[in-house]
Amino acid sequence: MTLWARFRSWLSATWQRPRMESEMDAELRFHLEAYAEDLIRGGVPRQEALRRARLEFGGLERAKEECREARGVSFLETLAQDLRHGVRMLRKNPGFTAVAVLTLALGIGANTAIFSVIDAVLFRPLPVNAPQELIDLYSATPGEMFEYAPLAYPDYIDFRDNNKTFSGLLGFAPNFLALERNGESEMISVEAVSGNYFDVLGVKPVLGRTFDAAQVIVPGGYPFVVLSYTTWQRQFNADPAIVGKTVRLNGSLLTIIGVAPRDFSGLMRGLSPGLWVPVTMDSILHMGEPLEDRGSQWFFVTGRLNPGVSVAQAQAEMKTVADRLAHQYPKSNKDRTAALLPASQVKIMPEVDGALYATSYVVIAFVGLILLIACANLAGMLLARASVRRKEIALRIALGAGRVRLIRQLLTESLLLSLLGGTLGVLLTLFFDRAVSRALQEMHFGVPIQIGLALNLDIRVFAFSLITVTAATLLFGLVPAFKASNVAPNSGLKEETDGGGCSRSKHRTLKTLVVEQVAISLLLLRVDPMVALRHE
Amino acid sequence: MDKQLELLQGILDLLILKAVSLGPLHGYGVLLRIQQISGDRLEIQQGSLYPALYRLEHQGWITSEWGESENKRKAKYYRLTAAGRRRLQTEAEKWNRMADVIAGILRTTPEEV
Repeated sequence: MTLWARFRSWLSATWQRPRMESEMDAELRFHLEAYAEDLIRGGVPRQEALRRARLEFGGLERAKEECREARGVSFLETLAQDLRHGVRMLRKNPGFTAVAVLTLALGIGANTAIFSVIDAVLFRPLPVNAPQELIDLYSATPGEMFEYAPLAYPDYIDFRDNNKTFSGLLGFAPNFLALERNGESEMISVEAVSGNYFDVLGVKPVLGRTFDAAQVIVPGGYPFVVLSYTTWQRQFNADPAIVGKTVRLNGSLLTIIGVAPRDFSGLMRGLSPGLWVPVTMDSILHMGEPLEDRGSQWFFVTGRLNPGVSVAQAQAEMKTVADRLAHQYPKSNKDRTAALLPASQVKIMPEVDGALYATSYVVIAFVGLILLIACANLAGMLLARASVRRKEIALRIALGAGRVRLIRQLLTESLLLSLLGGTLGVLLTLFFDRAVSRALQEMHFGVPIQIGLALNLDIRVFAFSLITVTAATLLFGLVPAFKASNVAPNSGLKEETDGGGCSRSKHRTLKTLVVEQVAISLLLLRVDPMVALRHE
Repeated sequence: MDKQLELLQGILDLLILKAVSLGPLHGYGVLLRIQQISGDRLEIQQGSLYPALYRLEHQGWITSEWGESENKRKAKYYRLTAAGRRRLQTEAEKWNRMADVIAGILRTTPEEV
């Protein structure tokens, strides 16, 4: 009940601010006048009585402030006040503000930019229905250097048709085909997929339909393709009547039946196929017999478990199938067994992922250090400014500002700086991501692999930037705020010169900052040539 | 004025609750009543009276409404709530216990130790 009363009082104090203020004024005025009247009745002249009433009451403004605080308005009030003051201080020192904001923008921008890339590769869930449910199936050969391999196509069919634990088991294989258009031909990266690929993933087309699993059986019997959104946009000018038109791939005519959604670029991180063909067509287009060959393993397999089935149960069943295959086809399958891994744990291939994570952590540490240097620089600048602002702060303390209040205000200023820096940093990230995406799209390897990352500023990147901004504020703002607020009003006000006073402890803090900066810079310098060398 | 006792923080709250429990009062009335009951032996900082009133209201121990003063002027009257009455009781008991303990300590003679 008292909690409710407190909340109500806070609410009314916040929303009915003007009314509360006028009521408070009226109440205090009544007090002063009532007291003065009592004094007059006691024989004090009118003027004198009013004066004494005021005098004995003490600081009127201070009492009001304490009343406001008692009602809990103070938080928003103080914040608004601090923000106003902060903006004023920043505008008064445009040079300092510009340098600080730029420093922070680079520090924060580097971090968000790298995070957006690493997030796209490692952390963001795949844009499919319930991605956490997907389980990868590998052909495992214990003792080999590359323990996990994709499946041979006939093995996939056996696993798919002889299990009760998976509700759906799909497969895909990256490949390249020559796309002929208007008499010109270009290599395009494609994925040859099982007929149930889109259905198991729960990916719905933006145009037309996807493959019909029941039809994708006979080699060459289902000459259809699904375009990626990017291909539809770039190669076909986003033609709204694209469904039903034909494309010529490796000399064969295929009909476009649908366009995949924008954010879907297959299951393999970093690769973005330009179109999908049924795996039964792939053999026609490549003129080989890989669909019959148990020796060549090229089909990546992923599936969803039936409700209530554990990974261990599925693993056991798959092993039974693998053992039977090893028995039945000893020539190709003798040492093979089956291994299941949750798809969320696999980014590209189990063997490649280790290096991917290691690289990512090094890069994250690298940009983290850059932010640390930026913060150290800024902390140094703020400390230097603190000695210039000694007088202002001493005056505020003399006027009754508490230390906590001062620290809060200085931190609000720092927060303003890092918010500005963060905003600029996010803008830099936007440009960086665009540039990287374009570079990736135009990059030509020996083969025309299309590398595509879903680099966009989503809620995750924003959340990360916000955390970075807060961390940066505390990193560079806290120590200077503590130091700056530690001024004796007497000595602070007496100082004639601006910024003459540098206490010993401030010197120590500055020294620590410089040592830290030199150390980190040396570290980065050592790492940098290594990185540069590797690129050559 | 030097002879008047300075108030410890927290005691002011207790005194206000007690004063208001005797009947609704406006702020100035609270001041007068406390001084009157104490026989003018207590000095209350007028400036700290109102923050205390606001604090108590915020906590729900007292409520306020506008009414008319003795000399026909608009004034804000404070009144004890049910929760405030319970609060006053526990705080008063706490205070009495404390006073007993302190008094006991102060009465101690060398022989008793």
